[in-house]
Amino acid sequence: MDKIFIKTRDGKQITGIRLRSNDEKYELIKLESGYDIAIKKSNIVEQKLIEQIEESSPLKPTHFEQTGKKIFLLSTGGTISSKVDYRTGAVNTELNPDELLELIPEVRKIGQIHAKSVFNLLSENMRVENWQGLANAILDSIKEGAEHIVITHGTDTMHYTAAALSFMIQNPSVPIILTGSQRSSDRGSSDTYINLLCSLSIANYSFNSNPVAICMHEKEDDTSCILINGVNARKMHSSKRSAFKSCDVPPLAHIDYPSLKFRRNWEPIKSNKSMKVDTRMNDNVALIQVHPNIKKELIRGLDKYDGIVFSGTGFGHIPEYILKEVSMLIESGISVAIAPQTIFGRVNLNVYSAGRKMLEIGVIGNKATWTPETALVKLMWVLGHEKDIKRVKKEMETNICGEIQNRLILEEGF
Amino acid sequence: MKAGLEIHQRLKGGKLFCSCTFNEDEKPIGKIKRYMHAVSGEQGKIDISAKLESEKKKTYIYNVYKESSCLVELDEEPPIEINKYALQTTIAFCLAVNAKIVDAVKVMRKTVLDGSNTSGFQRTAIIGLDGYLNMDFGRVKIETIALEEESAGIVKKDSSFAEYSLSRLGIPLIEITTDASLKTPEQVQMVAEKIGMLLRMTGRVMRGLGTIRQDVNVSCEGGARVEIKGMQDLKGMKSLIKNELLRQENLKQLIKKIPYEKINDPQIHNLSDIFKQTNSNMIKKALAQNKGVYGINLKSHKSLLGFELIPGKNRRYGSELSDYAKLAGVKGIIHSDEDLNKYGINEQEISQISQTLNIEPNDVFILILASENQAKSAFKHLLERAKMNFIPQETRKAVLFKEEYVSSFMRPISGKHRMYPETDLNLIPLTEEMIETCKQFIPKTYEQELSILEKQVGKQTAERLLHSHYLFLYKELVSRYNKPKLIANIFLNDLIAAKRKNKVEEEKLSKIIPKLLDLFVKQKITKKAIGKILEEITETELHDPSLTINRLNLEKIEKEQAKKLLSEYPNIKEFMKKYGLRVEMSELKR
Repeated sequence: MDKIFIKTRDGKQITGIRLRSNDEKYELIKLESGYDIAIKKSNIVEQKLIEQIEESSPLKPTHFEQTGKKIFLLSTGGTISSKVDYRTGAVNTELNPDELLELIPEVRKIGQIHAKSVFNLLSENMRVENWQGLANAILDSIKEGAEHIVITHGTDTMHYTAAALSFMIQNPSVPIILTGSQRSSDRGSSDTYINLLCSLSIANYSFNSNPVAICMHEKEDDTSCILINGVNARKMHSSKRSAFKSCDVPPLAHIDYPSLKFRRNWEPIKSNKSMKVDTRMNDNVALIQVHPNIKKELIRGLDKYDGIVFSGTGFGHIPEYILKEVSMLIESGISVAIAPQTIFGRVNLNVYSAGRKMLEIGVIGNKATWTPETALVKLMWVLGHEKDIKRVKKEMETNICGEIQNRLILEEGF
Repeated sequence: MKAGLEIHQRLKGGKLFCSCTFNEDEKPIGKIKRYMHAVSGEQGKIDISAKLESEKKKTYIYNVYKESSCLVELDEEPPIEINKYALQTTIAFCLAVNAKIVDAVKVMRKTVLDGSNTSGFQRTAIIGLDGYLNMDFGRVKIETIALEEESAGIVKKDSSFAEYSLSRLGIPLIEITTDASLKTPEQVQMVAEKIGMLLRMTGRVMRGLGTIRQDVNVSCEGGARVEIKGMQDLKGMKSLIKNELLRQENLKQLIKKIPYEKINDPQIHNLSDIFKQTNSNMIKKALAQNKGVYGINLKSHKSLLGFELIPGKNRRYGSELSDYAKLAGVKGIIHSDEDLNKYGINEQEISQISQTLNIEPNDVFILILASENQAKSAFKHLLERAKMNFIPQETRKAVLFKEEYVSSFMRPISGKHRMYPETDLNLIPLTEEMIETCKQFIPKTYEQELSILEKQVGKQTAERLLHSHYLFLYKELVSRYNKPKLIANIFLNDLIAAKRKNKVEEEKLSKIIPKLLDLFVKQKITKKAIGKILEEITETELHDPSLTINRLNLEKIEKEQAKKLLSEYPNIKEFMKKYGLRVEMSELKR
């Protein structure tokens, strides 16, 4: 790092350490007081180097003895593993899992933590191949003796990943918990601390059937987290800590903070089946939001896909005037599934004539309670190993891990 | 001595990074509960004062409001956009003190972990640099002018939790920092007064209790730099600085007497058993709360803890040690240099303590009432201070004691590690056009404003107006109605008189003055009626003063009819008794 002196046209005289500016029009200087100050390069009349300063080394993780359950902490990037890049001033995903643990000394009491970085992506950039890579990393961890797996993940698409893992690794031999944060780990109020601690603490509880689930803040208070079944989770707020909600079903459990008390609600399936793994996926599937005045041309243009999910209005409806175009897609061999854009509630195509006509042309998903995102991921997964349109429909309409509920019970808020 | 000032003034125009309004009277609609965690700062180091706060492992409760707080104050949403009005005010102030404006605003996060910011940091940005003020005694440099967020207000706290109100969190504050070139307490006070007046002259700052705070940095030859926070009373500034210099001077003398080599790490004893049958209410209460009485022997410190640092002002060496122990969240310490009878501790108990702690004639004992862990932490902090054979650099807070100000230790002085960039906001370029626009808001100096007002209302009234809350409302109304004397009279006399008689708050009364002036120029009421209405209007009539006018029968009698009525009266005195508030005398004379 360089300590420099700058003089500007309007007479400012500034001495400080030059930081990397992410706006090329400005020099960014850190003053002795700690403030950063931006100086327009075109205003600089004099600039000289005072001295070069050695960069101080970042926090070094300390080695510690561990006992207890073998817990694997897999990091994939996102806000939870992000810290400020002081050169650019931007939030970067570069905090490694060891550093994350360093920030939360309490986790050492829970078990032996094995931290691994799988990849480093902001979750908006995640693709099907990343889901598969993560699934393989999970399977490797299980082979290495993992008794509990926690995955740190960006929150934007965490529910897509949770759904993908739910279908790819059914009846997992260990709990697979995804967690993230809505406030970056570099601030005192970050939710990282509690989300991660609660996710790891679940290792000390046993399940009849191990879930693939998301563990995040329940409320705006720091008093509890909720564990949401992977296929039922959805990010429902752009910024709040409690952004993740469980749709149509209650959360699997609540974890109180700071007691880390685990309060169980329900489990997705009671089965003694062994773990079933199939990571094949067909990524040629689209999710389309139906809306008033949706164009026929848009529907006609979907003929290159292998599968389409329509996020329909109300019970899952699509307008009658595009029914013919949708019918043509199905006739050409494309699997068309329906999900409710209301997020909450069931697809029911028996109630109105529009729905009945949709059933006649062979859409998939009547009576499903899945979210549009879960329907998309399930269709990708089913099409990954099945091409026959009839068998695709049958498999899609059979519940695998809680995405199709027979009963919807009264829930607070809905 | 050398001293510098840091002045914080709340600005008008809504919160700095969201669209909330500040309503001091609002009742909370709910509470949320949070924890804070120390995080490593920019250079991978944890700021010392930040770490101290999070060591206390407190629960933070925040009161939530409908108008005064939104998701931004709750740290549930990133900042939206910087408040243009506050930015303009700050730029205008920078121009007024000849400061150089930054090319672009870079918002920073200053780590704060005492819970007073829900995010764990305070947002702050430098707007101007290198300004100056010309004083009678010379030029004072204004190093920086920053725009920052007000913290949340404390409601209550104890060792395990702190409750804050979110209503004031995020109000824009202008922070003005002078260099440390002030040489006397008088100079400090003069500069603070001048800056305060200039801020008021912008007409864009909040007024009233707590809206301006002066922090002062003081250091003296052979002493240390301390930063004293929370001074709201300019008149007390002189006593504050005088007492701080005295404290440092006496500490210097005391340091020579303290046998530092005798302080090892004394063993902490649990003395609770001694107090099973105690008459001390304070100890009884602590034991009932499952706390214990813990004590240490501070070797060869007899009479040193009782040494007065500021004579007659209740500041002893023991107070300094106690302040450090408080970092662990305890209420204070008890030591044998004090009169222990005032705590209800009897001679038998004292002798048992002395025996257990092996107290020799030159030793003192120190007791702390707390849980074992808290007591350990409290003694750790206390001993750290006891071992300092120098005057420590500290952040202290101003405390009023017997009409003078002294200070008590708050925390170690915070380092530069407390700052890191606000990543949720981009650089905000300040264009020449923007700065040009701000020129119209540059405050006039006191002298400039005085010479204008003098011409309107005379010197004496002008001076009163300049110190009045209503200066800007006065100016606005004068420009609208062009009746300076009448308007000045309403604010400086009628309103003051009304305030004494009317239960309605002054602020609410002042808001109806423009309506009354409007009725006056429309010939609906007389000059004299204005004062009467201000005295008599009720809370429910505030929205419509004509209700008061009707109720009190104060409507103005027009000129011809008034003359006719007057002619029917035997003398003017009787007439005025009945109609004085309803007729304009000047009209009748002509």
